[in-house]
Amino acid sequence: METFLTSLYENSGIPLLSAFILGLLTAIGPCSMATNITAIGFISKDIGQKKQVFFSGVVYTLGRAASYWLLAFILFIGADQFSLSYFFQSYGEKIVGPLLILIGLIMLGVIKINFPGLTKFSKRLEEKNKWNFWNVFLLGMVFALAFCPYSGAFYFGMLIPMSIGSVQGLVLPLAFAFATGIPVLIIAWLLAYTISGVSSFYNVLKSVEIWMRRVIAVLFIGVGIYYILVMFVLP
Amino acid sequence: MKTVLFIMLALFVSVSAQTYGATTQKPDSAKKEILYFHNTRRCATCKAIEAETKKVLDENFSNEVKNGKIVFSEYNAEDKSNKELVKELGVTGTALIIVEGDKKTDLTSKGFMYAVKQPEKLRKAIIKALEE
Repeated sequence: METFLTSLYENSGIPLLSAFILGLLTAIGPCSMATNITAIGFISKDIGQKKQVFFSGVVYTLGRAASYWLLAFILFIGADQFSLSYFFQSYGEKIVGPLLILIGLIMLGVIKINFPGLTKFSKRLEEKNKWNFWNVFLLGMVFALAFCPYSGAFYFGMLIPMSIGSVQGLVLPLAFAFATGIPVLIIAWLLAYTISGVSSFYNVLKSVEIWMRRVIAVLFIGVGIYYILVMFVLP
Repeated sequence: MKTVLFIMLALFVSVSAQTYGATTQKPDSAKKEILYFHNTRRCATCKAIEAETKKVLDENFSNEVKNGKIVFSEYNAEDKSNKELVKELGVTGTALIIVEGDKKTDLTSKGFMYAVKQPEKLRKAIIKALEE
């Protein structure tokens, strides 16, 4: 797959296609795996509402697009590329672990945030069976910014030079973002329209929905611990 | 007389400064440096980039490495002591750069694209950059 994509990239004279391929390479790259699994877990907790699951996948991808586009735009209007990419490549991955654990603990109700402004957000995460556009959108935004060396090289090293040369170039981060969201989109589609179509399985899933939430919270904490171990304990 | 002496002294100082500057700043065109940067935590691809580079040096350029014409160095991009070098070369994390005098060849993108699945393409690019 990677070999095919890289040869396609080498022969692509169309910037839009190149950006899309770079996004696909990032999506199937080793370091996107953990965030993809977490995102799929997060959106599948609403398995009872078929369409919602697929729509969540779309909103998650839109969140990613917002981050990639905004970052490209900031660089386009003249921000220092060196400082920004150095910052994200040094800290992006380090923030993810603690953040995932925090979200997981809030979902479980272990931590209650009482800061003004944040209360609403934590309440939303705790509310059962209530889907919220912004939660999924924010998750997409944050995961997009969690650059690892692999995605950083593709985004900052290859996509940004193509994108910030002209105003038209600013459409490229969107193609890149769409491609990075594809694994989550595919699984969301399968969950929404294939698995839930099997009625007996669907009924089982619906009955365990209350538990799904806790399982997902534990998944968040687990992936968070994985990130912390990899980033800080076993370098 | 004093003025003449002062002018002569000033001329001498400026000429010698120029000569000194020329000898120290002149890039050593015969020497090629391969600089490999990484963060404290290295991803699988990052490690593969280093491994492939070292393989090329061992297999194709062992004589040049022995006589110092090609120098390989590894730096932690997050280490404060490398801050200036990182800024000078515009490195933001893992990077593979070949420097020869004023010429800089950045092989980072190729490294990330090829190191794991198509290492032969990365090796080819390194060899090409070193032979040029």
